[in-house]
Amino acid sequence: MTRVIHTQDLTKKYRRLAALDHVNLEVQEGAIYALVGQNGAGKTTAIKILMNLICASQGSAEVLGTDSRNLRGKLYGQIGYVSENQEIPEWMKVGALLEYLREFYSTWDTALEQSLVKQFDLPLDRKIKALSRGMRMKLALTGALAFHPRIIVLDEPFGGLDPLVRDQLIESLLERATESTVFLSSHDLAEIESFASHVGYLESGRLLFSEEMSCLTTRFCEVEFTREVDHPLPSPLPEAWLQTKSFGAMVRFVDSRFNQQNTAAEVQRLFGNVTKLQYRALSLRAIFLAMAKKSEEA
Amino acid sequence: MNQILHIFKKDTRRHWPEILISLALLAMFTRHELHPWQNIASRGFSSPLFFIFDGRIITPALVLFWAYLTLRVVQGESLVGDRQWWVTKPYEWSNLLAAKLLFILVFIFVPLFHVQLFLLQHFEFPILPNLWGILWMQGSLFFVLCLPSLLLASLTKNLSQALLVVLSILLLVAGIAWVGTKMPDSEMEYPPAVVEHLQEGLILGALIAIPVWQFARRNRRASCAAFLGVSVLYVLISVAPFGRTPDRIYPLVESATAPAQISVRLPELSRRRDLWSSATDNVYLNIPVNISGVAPRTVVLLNGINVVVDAPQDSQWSRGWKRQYGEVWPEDRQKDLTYEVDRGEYEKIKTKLLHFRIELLLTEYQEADARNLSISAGRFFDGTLGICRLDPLRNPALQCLKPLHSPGLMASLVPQKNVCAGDDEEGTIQEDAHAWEYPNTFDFPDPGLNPVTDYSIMFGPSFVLRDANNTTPQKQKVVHLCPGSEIRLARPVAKRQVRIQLDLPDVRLQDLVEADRQ
Repeated sequence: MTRVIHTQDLTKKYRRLAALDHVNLEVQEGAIYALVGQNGAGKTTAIKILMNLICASQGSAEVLGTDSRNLRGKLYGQIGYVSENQEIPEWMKVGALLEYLREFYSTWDTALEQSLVKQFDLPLDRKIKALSRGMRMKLALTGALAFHPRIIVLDEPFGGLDPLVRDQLIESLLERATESTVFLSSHDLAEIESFASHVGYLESGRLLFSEEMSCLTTRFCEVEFTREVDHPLPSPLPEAWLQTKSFGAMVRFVDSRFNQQNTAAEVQRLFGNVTKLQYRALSLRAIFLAMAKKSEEA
Repeated sequence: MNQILHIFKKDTRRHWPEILISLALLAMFTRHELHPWQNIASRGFSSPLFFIFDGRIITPALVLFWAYLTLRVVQGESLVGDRQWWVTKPYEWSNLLAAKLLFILVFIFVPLFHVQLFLLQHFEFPILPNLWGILWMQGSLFFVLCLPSLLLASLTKNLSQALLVVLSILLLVAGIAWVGTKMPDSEMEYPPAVVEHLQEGLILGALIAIPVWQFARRNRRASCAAFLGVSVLYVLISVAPFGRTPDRIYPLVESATAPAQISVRLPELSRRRDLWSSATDNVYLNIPVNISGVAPRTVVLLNGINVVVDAPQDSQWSRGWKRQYGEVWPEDRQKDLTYEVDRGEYEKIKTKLLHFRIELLLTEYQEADARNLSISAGRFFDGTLGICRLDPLRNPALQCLKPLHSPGLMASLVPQKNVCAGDDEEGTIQEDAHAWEYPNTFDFPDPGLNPVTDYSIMFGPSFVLRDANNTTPQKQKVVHLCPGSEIRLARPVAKRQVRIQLDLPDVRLQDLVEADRQ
């Protein structure tokens, strides 16, 4: 597999504040990579550096094998970039913008453009300034997909959109996923979970993990059991155990390095004989919250 | 090329209302310039819209609108910020820059070029010999208007930011100019040619390199730093002591060998009070001088003055060299020199008897290729002057039109051949009258948009010596020009530049100030 995005110790500082702190990230071709994190975690900063919109303070970033600082001109012909904060020329009409963009790309697919226009129900003769937020996002996505980009980079594409529009956007992204790598940032975890193949978690500029979604959901697991006697929790608990809580004799925690045999052995070692030992898979949202709370506690 | 034309077409579609306004303003400018003399003759100050109808507002409005159009078209793809949709599209920066320049060329320079050719043709001046001048004017306009606008547009996100920057720069320049007025000797320092070239190179380099860099890299911080660096360097070079004071350029000569013998005349008692002078921060010394010895066919220009005063406590003070304007013709017998001093310094010593040393900078010009020209009725053409006519409002004066720039000339009325109705007034003194136009050393066109320069040759009377003891009021002859009058025309040739010194012992400073004479 070819890597299409790669960062090495990527750091961005605004005076003393580190918006990104030595981030090492790798995205393989064909992946749908979701960069998640709370507001201010550094997702947009990372994307802006990747797109050569701002400069990194330290470290390096590569996109499609090119140092992101050298990303300009024709190289953008392989990248479809959409951001919720993008300033689209409001004086243009929808049709005029698409017609204008068409000339910039040798790979522009007019049939695909028309299909996306139809799918998104875009009003070609309406001025962009009269479009709703959802419509603008659809237009931006149409402009970013119609030339078969090698990589689609989306910065918070679903923010503030109604569920129907979100579904439409995701559907169109998935249709393109066979030919493009998708790299997106979002804090809309429920949506991400349904289609992302890889996920990275940014917390205060640090990348806490970056892995395949299936590995992640296997690795994180909620464990619950009942002890014979109601004693205080032993200390120290394994580092991988998050949000460990006791409710009388019952104990519950999130194991961030879950392996059924190892976890059971560890429980046995710390608590002796336990009953009703149960394992429950976690949603991405639950994993995200567990990690966020761990950071807050730290 | 396709991308350039594609962006150009988009900009044209977007800015067509502004393009139409620009063309309409250019049409108004053309219409105004077609009738240069009619406008002057038909002046009427009663209308509140006088300045609009008069047309003088059209040229600045047109130039400002072009600056606005340049800003708008460049900021259409703003080079500042990270949210613009276009920055992640496959634009080639060089194509983007070329598209913007093409827009400026097509909608500003090409229409102006046509108007300039049309104006030349309308006034029946040949186009081909003046083509280089028009191209020079276009280049100057690009340098003075478009490059700064391009720089401003490339460093600002929108119009309001640009206006804020312009306002800040104007305030800064005003501040520097104000500081400059407080520095003695600052007015007439000439930097060496190499320093001047360095400054020109710095400005031109910055005006070209910074926008190009900004288009290529969109790095506003680096571009602004470069701009500030160049500005600071420019100011440092300007205030650095490279300047040559005039006394190095104008060698000191003895009074007897000077092109004009000038002596200070003790001032007369004031008969009027200057109400304005006491309200200003500066005081203007008024130094009357007697003049003689200017050779025939010669004019001596007063270029500068320096007054050095031996102040109390064996100290000296001077405000340094100040510019002086005026011509001394062979018939001239008196002139008034002025010199500006700080009111605070003046007030300290104004009543004390002091020794003054006055230095004057003079340039002597002599006639070359002299000839007589008979004034015709109505419009007439002369190879040197261009198209001229008698000025109906200001007599004796000629109004003339000439391609690119006014000619350098020394002109004199020929009194014997200048008898017009109303000239022979009893008791008048026969006077000569002269006119002067600076020679255009490098033949550069005058600044402006119109290649046809509208200039006046105004004949001023010579100043004869007034007899202070004669109580009979003296009449000055009013000299007129009329069809049939002859004027003597010559090309001025610079002969020498000199500096002379005049001594004025035991004078109180206040005696040289109209308002304070006792």
